[in-house]
Amino acid sequence: MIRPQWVCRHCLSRIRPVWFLRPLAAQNIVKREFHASVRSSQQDEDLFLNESLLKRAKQLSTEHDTLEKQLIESFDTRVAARAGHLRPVSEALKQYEEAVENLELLRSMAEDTNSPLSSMAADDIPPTIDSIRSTSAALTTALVPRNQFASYPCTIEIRPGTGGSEATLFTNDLYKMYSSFFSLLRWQTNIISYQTHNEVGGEGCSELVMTVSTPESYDLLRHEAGVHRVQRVPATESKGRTHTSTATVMVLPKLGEDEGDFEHGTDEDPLAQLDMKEVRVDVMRASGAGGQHVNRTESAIRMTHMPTGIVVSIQDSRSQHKNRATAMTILKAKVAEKRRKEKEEEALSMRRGVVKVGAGRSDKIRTYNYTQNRVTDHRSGESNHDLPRFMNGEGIGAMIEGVKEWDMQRSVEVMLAMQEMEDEKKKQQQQQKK
Amino acid sequence: MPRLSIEVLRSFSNRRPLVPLLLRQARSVGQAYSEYRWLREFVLSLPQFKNSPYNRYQYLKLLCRRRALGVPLQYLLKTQPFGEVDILCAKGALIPRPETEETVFRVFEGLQAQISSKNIPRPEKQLRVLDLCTGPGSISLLAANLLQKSNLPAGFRILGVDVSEKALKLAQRSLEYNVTKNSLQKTTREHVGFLKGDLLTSNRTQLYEKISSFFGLKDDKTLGIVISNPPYISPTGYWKETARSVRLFEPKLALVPLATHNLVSEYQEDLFYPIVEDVAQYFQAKALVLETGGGEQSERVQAMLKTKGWETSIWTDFAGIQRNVVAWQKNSEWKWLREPENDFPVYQFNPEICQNIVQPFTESQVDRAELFTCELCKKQEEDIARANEERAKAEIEAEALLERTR
Repeated sequence: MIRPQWVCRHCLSRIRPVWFLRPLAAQNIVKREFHASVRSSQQDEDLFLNESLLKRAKQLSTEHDTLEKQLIESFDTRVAARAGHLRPVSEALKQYEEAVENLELLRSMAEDTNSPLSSMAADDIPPTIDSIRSTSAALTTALVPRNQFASYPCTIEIRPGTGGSEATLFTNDLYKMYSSFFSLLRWQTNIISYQTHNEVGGEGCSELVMTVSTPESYDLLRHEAGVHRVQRVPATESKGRTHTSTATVMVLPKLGEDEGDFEHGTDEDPLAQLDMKEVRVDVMRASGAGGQHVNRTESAIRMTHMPTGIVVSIQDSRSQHKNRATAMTILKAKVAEKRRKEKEEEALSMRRGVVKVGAGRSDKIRTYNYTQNRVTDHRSGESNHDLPRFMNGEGIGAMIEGVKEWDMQRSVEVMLAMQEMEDEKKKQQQQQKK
Repeated sequence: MPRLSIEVLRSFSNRRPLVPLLLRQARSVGQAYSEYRWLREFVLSLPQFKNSPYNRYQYLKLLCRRRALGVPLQYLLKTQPFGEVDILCAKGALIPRPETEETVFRVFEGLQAQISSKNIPRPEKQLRVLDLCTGPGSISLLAANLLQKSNLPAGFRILGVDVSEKALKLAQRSLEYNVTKNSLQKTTREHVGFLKGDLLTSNRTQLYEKISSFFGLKDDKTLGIVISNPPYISPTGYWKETARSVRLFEPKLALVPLATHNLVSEYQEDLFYPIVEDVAQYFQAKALVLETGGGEQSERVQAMLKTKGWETSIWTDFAGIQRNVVAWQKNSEWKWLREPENDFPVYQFNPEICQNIVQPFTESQVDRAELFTCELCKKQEEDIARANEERAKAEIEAEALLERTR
């Protein structure tokens, strides 16, 4: 087999082509190594930020300045909120530019060997480089748009995938894992639907829907969405063979009606806005005269969002009214999720010229291997070697943090793609004008 | 009605032996499961069986057996959710129907929407609502719940009138129940009242006096709105159209208007509508909302109201039946009641996307609805299948590679 060389992670994240990073990260080949403090000027390019990223930052900071001027003249809450979002970007940009200027100055001084200051300047170079690194990192994080639903509570749905009854058993295990994780965090949860099936090896679960009412919980838990794979000898297995089955976890932001101001990039929540004319509401009914003639207990509500074809049908509560409200919240979340996905995918496919995005729902994101006592996340490449404790909710937090870091890099890509898209559009417009 | 296969029935016998009992009334697997769940939740919430699982199970069995005999689920659970209020149900009173719930929402949420969008001025006078043939008080209590939310400056007052003392007692208990449950404010005790009165007597002056004294009416006898869900089933329709469970367990008094000697009309089921209209005229009500059996009956009632000088409109319910006749006085602020756009709407949809989803959502579809997977889930399942295939391929290739290296 070919063994790749050890490569510095920071260098990778700066210049490498996009396809290069993920497989390496997934195979856990990339390890963190710190830079040597002094570097030759040839490697300088890695140090500075990507050009289009800088361009974006400059755009935003000029926007920030104009907004500030507007605010001095007349105060408007919406403008103030937008300016507040942009402030960290412009501050980080200023720091970054200062550091870069300093570096150039110091280098020119150090090259001039006649000057008495040259040795002092040479000493000052490493800390300046470090500061560039830290400020550029800060700038990247400030630039990366926060997930627009990040501040929301969320709804989690767990369903068995392939693997039959073993998958339902695993779904139940996942449910227990998450519920103990939430109780460790002291997050409030509410179970909307929990359908159990008694299987041979214990209690299985065919569907679980629960809401986590803690705000900002979506920001953390959205990384949990995907296919979770389990490899173990199931309780139903008589010959001791290891089986592989899956469970899918869906995490949707729980969109209330009264949540106000929206995050970075959007003035209001445009994604969860539904035109009620596009939503078809069906009430389950018996055929016949209805009214006083029958006393049926059917209360099922089915909602169809016509443009996307998303359907939600709810028959949990005896109250039609309550079912209607639940169906509406779930429908809103599903539609918003779909729209967001579409938007992201459009941008990414533009950048790569390839339609396949990869990290959608189709890929497994994590493997729980009982025989090896191991949990591995395939995105960050991290492993945890204490499965029983992991299934009791300890150690998930650390794993999610790792994924979050990985996700940050991915969002930089998305952002760059967006930027390029805009640039291209502008170019086209200019050409048309000519 | 599709027959259930023997396998389906057998599958219950191990896990949920009580569900087949419920199937007799529910007639579909999904609905039977739902009913079983609600009964189980109800029994679990009872304090007297807290420490005795055996008795609890016996009681659940008893309830399921009674349900199998056709006793309405609402009588077994003793309540029926009606909007945000819970209406107590017991023998001798009609179970509130979802159609009525929809009507009340449409009237009072519509009123709120009209006020907040400033199409009509904020009412300066107290809003007076008269609910005739109130039964277990469902319309009155839900109206109170909706009106207390809309914060009318001069408040509101609601009176429910019915002939059955049993039903009125239940209504009063429902009121207390909802106040303790906090779905109604404590002040509703003063704003909502129930009154025993017979509309079918020839001389209604006594009743009128009682109503005026409740609302504190002196010279101006104006009411805001009269709303009524009277008995509207014809004697022949009672035997032909009603469900067996309705005939056996619900009071006939609340379903079929009784023909009296002095009041006999061509259509016995329409007996109450002229009387309700008469009451509305006497108190100079500005609006009138009536529930009917739908179709021709609605048209007859509408024609009757037109001859008496009302402006009228017919509302369609969620099942597409012409359920309500609404009427308002000329040039009054209640003319927004006409709005046809609130009717069960006809949708424009993209047939390519919604090929298999948009079908009427009827009884025979329950089981399919249960198995129904949405587009996203379908996509997900396909993705999983594809991922599995890819994985299998990769494993085979890896094994081949291993063997080659050996």
